[in-house]
Amino acid sequence: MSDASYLHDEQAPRISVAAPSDYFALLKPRVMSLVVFTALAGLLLAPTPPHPLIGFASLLAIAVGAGASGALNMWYDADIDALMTRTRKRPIPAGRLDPESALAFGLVLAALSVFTLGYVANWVAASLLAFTIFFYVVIYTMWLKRWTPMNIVIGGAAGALPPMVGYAAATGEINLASVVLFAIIFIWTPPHFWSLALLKSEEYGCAGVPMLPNVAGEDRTRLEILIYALALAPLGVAPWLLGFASLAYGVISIGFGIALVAAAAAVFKTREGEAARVAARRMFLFSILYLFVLFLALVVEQTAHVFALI
Amino acid sequence: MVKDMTDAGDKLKDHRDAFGGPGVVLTKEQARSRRQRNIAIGATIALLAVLFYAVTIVKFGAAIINRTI
Repeated sequence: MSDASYLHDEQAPRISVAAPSDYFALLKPRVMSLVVFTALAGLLLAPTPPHPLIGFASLLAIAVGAGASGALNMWYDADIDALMTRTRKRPIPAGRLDPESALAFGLVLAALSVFTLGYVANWVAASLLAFTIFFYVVIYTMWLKRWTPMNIVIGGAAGALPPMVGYAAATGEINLASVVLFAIIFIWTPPHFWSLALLKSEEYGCAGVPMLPNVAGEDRTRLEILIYALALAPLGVAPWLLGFASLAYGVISIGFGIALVAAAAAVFKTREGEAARVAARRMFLFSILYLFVLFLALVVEQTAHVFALI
Repeated sequence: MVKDMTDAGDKLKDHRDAFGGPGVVLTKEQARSRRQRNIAIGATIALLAVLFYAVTIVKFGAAIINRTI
């Protein structure tokens, strides 16, 4: 038999059929868009906004850094992604991309994004971006996610950092305003994901991910959602109270804060049947709208402020 | 290492002799996806080059034309 058989069966070279769209999916584009949006809010808070091109390149680097985190998360979590309907169509569990390619892609993008931000903006922002990627991939994905039901509480810091990175990109430092934006996203994250976990608790259970409903029970989760919503509503008003957002923002944040608490209260009270699922779904969707509207208000008024400076 | 490479080359030659073909032949799908990936990588590198060039000009500012000749 010829040695040429090395080219067949399991020894045959694996030739990828992954399309660019599969690599793009690794970046978690929806998460990336939220990161860009919140980083933009932080960037616009700077007393002196950066040159538009520097601002654009900084946001691009932050977006790529977030994408790198997503790719490395999908590489590490491919085993549990294959077990959940929400994630099993991702490129690696679907078999369109091999894990090694995803790992290489994520590492290259992570390095590229950090060094680009360092060159384009400054090394304070680049260090914060590197820390964000490290926190999301190592602290959250590799350590907390499969270990504790508090995974989302602590791991949420990674998703909350982009406004601070954006502000640091524009100024080279961090200030109270950017820390407040961090705090808003940090407190927003647990009730948002726990609402989803109430809807998908069986899937998380099958995958062995210890989300709060599986570990502490649904009643405890509903209580925690309400407590976090009660903390988030006044925190959302803080930008106005601290003087870096307008009265219009204050009115919007109070109105949406009341609605958020009402949605959380509905989740807390409604515990049986389809009505309970509807309440959890409403809370999940409304929490997205809440964060979007608050940051949109900040971006709009800060943009108007920037144009007024020109 | 050189011996390994030589062995690999011999194996490829054996494969060609055994099957009378050119070795690894990409399927249409493999060729298409590889071409798409190459185009995406090329476009990304070109855009990065333009971006870095433009950012460098902006960072220099007016000083870029203030130099000793």
